[in-house]
Amino acid sequence: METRKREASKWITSRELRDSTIEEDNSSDTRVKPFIITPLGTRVKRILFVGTVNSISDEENITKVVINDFTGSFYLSIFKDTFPEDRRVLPDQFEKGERLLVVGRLNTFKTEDQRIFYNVNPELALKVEDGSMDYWNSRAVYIAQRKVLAIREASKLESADASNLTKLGYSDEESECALRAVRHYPGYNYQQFIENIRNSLTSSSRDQEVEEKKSIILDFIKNNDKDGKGCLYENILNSMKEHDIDQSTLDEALNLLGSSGEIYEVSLKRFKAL
Amino acid sequence: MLFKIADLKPDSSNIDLIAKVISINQKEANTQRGPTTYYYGIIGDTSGTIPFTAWTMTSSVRANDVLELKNCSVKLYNDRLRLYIDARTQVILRPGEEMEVRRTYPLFKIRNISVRDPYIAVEGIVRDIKERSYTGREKSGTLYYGLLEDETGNIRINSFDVKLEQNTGYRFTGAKVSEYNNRLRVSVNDKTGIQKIKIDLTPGPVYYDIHELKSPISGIFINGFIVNVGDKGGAVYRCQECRKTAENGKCPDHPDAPVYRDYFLYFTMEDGTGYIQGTCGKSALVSYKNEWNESALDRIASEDYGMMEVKKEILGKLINAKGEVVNSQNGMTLRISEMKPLGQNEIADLSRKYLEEV
Repeated sequence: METRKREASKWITSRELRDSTIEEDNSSDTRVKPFIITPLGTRVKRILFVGTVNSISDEENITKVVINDFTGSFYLSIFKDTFPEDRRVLPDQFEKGERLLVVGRLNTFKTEDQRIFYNVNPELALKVEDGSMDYWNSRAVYIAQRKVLAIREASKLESADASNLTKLGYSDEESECALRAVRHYPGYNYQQFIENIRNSLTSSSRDQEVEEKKSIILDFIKNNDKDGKGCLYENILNSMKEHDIDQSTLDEALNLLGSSGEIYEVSLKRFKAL
Repeated sequence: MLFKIADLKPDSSNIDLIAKVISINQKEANTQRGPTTYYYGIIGDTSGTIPFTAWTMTSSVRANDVLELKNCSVKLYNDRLRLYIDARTQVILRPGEEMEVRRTYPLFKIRNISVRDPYIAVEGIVRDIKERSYTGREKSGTLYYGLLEDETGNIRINSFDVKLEQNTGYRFTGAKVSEYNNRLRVSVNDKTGIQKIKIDLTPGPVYYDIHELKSPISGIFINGFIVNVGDKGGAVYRCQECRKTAENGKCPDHPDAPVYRDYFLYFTMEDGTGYIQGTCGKSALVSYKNEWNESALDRIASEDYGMMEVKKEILGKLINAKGEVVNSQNGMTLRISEMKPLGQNEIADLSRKYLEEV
C-alpha cells in the first residue's frame, strides 16, 4: 500500500498569512481544502508557530484563542469535542501571557468582496519556554528573508525555471516559492515586508526585555522608599546597574509602570509606588 | 552522430554511443502514468565513464556487456552529466565484443555519496578504526573498519587487507559505495587508489537543515521541534550482533547471538524546512534526561503503553539531536544517538546567526 506523505508545516509569520490573497484552484477535487499561496510563494495548509496568548474566549462548543507573534495575531478555533482524550491541545490550561507552540491546519473564510480571513484548527498546542519563541522568531525571519532574496533573483529570470535558482544556492522549496510569488503577487512590496518584520522582531524583543525588567524596578521602588517621599531617579539608576539594566531600559520601564498606574512621579525625578 | 563519452555536453540530444556497461541496477518508481521500473548505473568507453538512467532497457543487459545506443540525450543532474535512455533510444547488444574502459571517478563530498554512483573518489580523515579477520568465498584476510569523516559528516568505511591509520587524511580513488542495513558505506581494497593527504577539518558539530538530507549520512546534528510522538514506543529486545529487533527473544539473522533490552521511541521533528522521523533508544533517552536510567525506563515501559511519561515530556520541545540518517520505508529517518533540549545560550547564538546570515 502506498503511504501518504505527511505535509510539513510551514513556519510563517502572521503578517505573511494576513497578506495572503490566493487560494490554489482545487476544482478537480473540491472535497480537499485548497492550499493557500502566500506573498512569499509559500504553499501552505499546515503551519507551525510560537506566540503569546493574547485572549481566550469560551463559547458553547468552541474555544477561541488569539495568539500574537511579533508581527500580529493568529486566530485559533478549538472545538471542544475534537480532542477529548488527547493531551495535545488543552485550551482550559492556557492562560493569557503564556507562550504556546501551535501546529495547526488553516481554515479560510471569504467575504462577499473576496477578502480572505484565516483561522487555525490546532493539532498541537502546548506551553513552551521563552527560548522556543526566540528560536522560532529568528528562524521564521531567516526563512522569510531567504525567500525574498530568491524572489528577487526569480524576478530577473527570463524563463521561470527553478533549476536556475537552485544553481544559485537556493533550496528546491525556496526556488519553487520564488516562482509562485513572482507569478501570483507581481506588485507586492517585498522590501517593505522584510523591513517590517525585522523591525517588529527588534521592537518585540525590546518590549519583552523591558517587560522582564519592570518587576525588578518596581520592587526596588517599593523597598527603598524609606522616608515615604519616593525614590530618586539617580538612586534607581545606580542600583539597576547591578541588574544589568541600562538607562534607556529603565526609562522605558518607568514610563510603562507610570502608564499602568503602578508608580507615579511625586516630584521631579522622584518615583513612588502605589 | 557517434560520440565519445569525454565529448558529451549537457542538454544535448540525438547522441549515439558504443559503450560498456560497468554497473546496472533497477528500481521501482511511481510516475504520473503509474508504477514503472527504471534502470540506472554507469557505462564507459575508452574516453571515460558516465552515469545513466534508462526508462527502457533490454532485460538481458548485464554488467560488462557492450551496447550500441542510438538517440540518447544528456542532461545535468545534481551538477553532474547523466545519460538518458528512453523509448526513442535504440539499444543494440553487441555480444562477444570487448572494450577497454578508461575509468574516471568523480570526487564526492560525503554528504553527496549515494548508491547511484557506485565507484567514486572521496577524501576524508579516518576515525575509530578497528580490525577483525574475515573469511570470504575466495580468500580470507583482515578487515579494517571505522568512519571516514569530512566537513559534511561521516560514513562507514571498510578496508579489505589495507591497513588504515587512525586520524589520518586519505584520498581514495575508485572506492565502492554500497548500502547495508539502510546505511551507506564505502569499501576499499588493494586495487583502490589510496593516497595519504593532509586535511584540515574545523572541529565541531556539523549542522543540517532537514531539507538538505537527501542520502544516508552519519555524525550530524539537527535542531527542531518534536511535533508528534509515536504511540508504539516501549521496551524491545535487540540482537547484540546486528542490533535488529529480536522477536520472541531471538534475532532472525543471528539466532544464537545474545540479546539485550532496549527502549524504543519514535517521533517527528520539524525545523521549518521539512520534517524527519527520529528514532531513539536507551542511550538517546538517557542523554536527554539523566533520571531516565535503566530502571526508570523499565518502570515507564511497564506502567504505560507507549511510554506516555516520556512522550509527555518531549512533545513540543525544541531539541538538538545527533545521529545518523538512514533510508527507511517512510523515507529518511534520523537514528538519534544523543539528544538534549536546546539551552538558552545556544538559542541566543542560533538566533543571532539566523538574523545576521541573510
